[in-house]
Amino acid sequence: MGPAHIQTGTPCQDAFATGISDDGQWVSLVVSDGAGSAARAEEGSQLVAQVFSEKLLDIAKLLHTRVPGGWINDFVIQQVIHVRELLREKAGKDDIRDFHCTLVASLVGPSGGFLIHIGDGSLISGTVDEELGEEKKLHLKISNQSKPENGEYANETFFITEKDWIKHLRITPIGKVDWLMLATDGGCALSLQNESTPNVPNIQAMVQHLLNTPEASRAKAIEAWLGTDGAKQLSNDDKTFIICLGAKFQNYQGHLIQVTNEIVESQPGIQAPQAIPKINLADPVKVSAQGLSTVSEGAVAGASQAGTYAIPGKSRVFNLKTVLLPVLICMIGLYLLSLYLDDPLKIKDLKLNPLLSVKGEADKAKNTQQDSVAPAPDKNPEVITDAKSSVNLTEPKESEVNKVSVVNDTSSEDNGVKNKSDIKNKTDTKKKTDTKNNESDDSSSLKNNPSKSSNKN
Amino acid sequence: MSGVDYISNPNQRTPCVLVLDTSGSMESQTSSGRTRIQELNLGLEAFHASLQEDPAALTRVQVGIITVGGPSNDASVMMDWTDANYFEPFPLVADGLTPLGEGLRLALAMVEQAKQNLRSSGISYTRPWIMVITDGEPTDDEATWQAAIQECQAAENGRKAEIFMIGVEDANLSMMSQLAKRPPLMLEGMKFKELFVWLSASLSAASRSRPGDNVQLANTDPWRNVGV
Repeated sequence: MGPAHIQTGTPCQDAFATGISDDGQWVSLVVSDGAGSAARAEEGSQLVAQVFSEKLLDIAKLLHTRVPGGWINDFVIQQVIHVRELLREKAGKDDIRDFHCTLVASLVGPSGGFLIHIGDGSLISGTVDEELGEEKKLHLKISNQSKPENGEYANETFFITEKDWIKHLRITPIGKVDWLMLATDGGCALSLQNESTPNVPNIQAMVQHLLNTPEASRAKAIEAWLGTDGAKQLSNDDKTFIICLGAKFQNYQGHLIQVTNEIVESQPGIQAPQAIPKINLADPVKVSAQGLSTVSEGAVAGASQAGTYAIPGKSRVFNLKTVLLPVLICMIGLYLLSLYLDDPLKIKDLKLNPLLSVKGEADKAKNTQQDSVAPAPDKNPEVITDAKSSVNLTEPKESEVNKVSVVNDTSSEDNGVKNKSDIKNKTDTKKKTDTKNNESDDSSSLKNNPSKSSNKN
Repeated sequence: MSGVDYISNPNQRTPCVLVLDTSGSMESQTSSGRTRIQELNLGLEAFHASLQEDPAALTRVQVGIITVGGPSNDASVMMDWTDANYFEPFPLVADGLTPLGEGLRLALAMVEQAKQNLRSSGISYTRPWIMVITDGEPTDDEATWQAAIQECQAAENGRKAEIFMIGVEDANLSMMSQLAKRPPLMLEGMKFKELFVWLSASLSAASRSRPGDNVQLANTDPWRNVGV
């Protein structure tokens, strides 16, 4: 809980929730930041966090039988609409501005995932490599980021509860990652500098500190870090952090942590999930669910919240090499076998790679090197062709561009209320529905009225 | 301009430009024995002192000063954008007419310039304030005044800045009210100190506000003349 909120006696308006799929392969992580001026913001953020942590796992289930595509974006949009409807039921009316909150969520599995974002707060993810030199190092690379979106002014942002939320929904697909960090706006002050660039020294220090702490005490460690005077000085807001460390970190033995920033620039808006390699449907992946630590819940209302979670999966994860290598060996074996069995396929007559040349053909093979038709298997493990039939063993690429057409919300769901109450705030769609960041545009805030100028409509 | 440092202080900024009437009428004597301009100068010192006592404001507020009138008899930038922790007040001198319209246009230009500089330095900011203090009425030609009205209204509609107008003594409040929706307020007597303490507290609140917050401005009782 931020110092500002302790002072004013408002409850912590941040919420977080995490979920893990039944097969232990996928993890959903959500934080949500309620707006300070919204009367029931904490209810809003809690509902958003809870629903998304559950529903995102449905995507994981569907990915067992369905290729990643635009349907994922549609699914996310459907869940946003679903949450908004739930909030309407809670409110007992169509206007849900009392629940104004942001959405900072992620679904991640063994081969990649998504960052889902409305408003401020931040998501950072990346890979980790072990560097063994004079000093043992864990080299963290930041590869993806979903930045806070504030509009022009620092004290404005966008909410899932606004009428034109869809203009500010950002879905970013990410490749395989070994770690993620989610933070609400308050937490951003610590993990970001200039409110958008990752603060590499801070992240470094935080991960180092975490890894030096026994697993059971890690949530407390984050809480303590978020509660330090330095942290309070940077932001007096509620701060919530989720740090998710993959199985690779289990080998950590006092390594130094080094973080570099190699962010893949992502475009704003909703992107087609092309980055996730297709899961081979013929061979369902069996990744063990070892290395899961239970989510340590930070203390409830009244304290900064944090959680650590391990990404399921062993270090040797499913990728091209683990599938293709055995297949490759089989192919070579079969080839050699057929040669041994008097070459019924007349393979000798084909001009093939000299490395696979057979008895007495050594010189001939060397001459055929120039006109070899097949590329060397070790150079290009992805494609092995023999002259007879092209057997393409690469994973078929997802090449269709799935553009989600953003339909402008022209329904009049909020128009009535908006026109009545927001007479001064015209059609400016950038700002949040309740402009409370500064004194309101009417002069009532300057009148001798010490009570909170309420704009509840 | 060395008044701002975005490297060692990358905090978000709340810029505020003061448009101050330094026309000849500000030389008038007041009941305290000091002239109006002397009272204003004391107010600026109180502003500085108040900022110094507020650690959050010190790192986040940014101040600029435009004088309207004065020995140069024009509207000019007396102090370019300066971070609060570098801001040192200095006495203003009164003389001449009141080209307030010109001063406002200059203020809007300063605000845009501040935003550009902040954006290019990667510093975020809250909506800038323009605080106008005048004791008379504008002496601009009609064209300039009309242009100022247009620009101020556009700025307010476009949410480019928050415009506050404070009238002193003989100020023509009805002319000032043409500029913006927020009605001009009248200063009680010579309570510049109280006004500037209020300004410092309000800027501080704005600079600490987070998305979705209600920025609670300080109470205007200490300085406001409610009879007008």
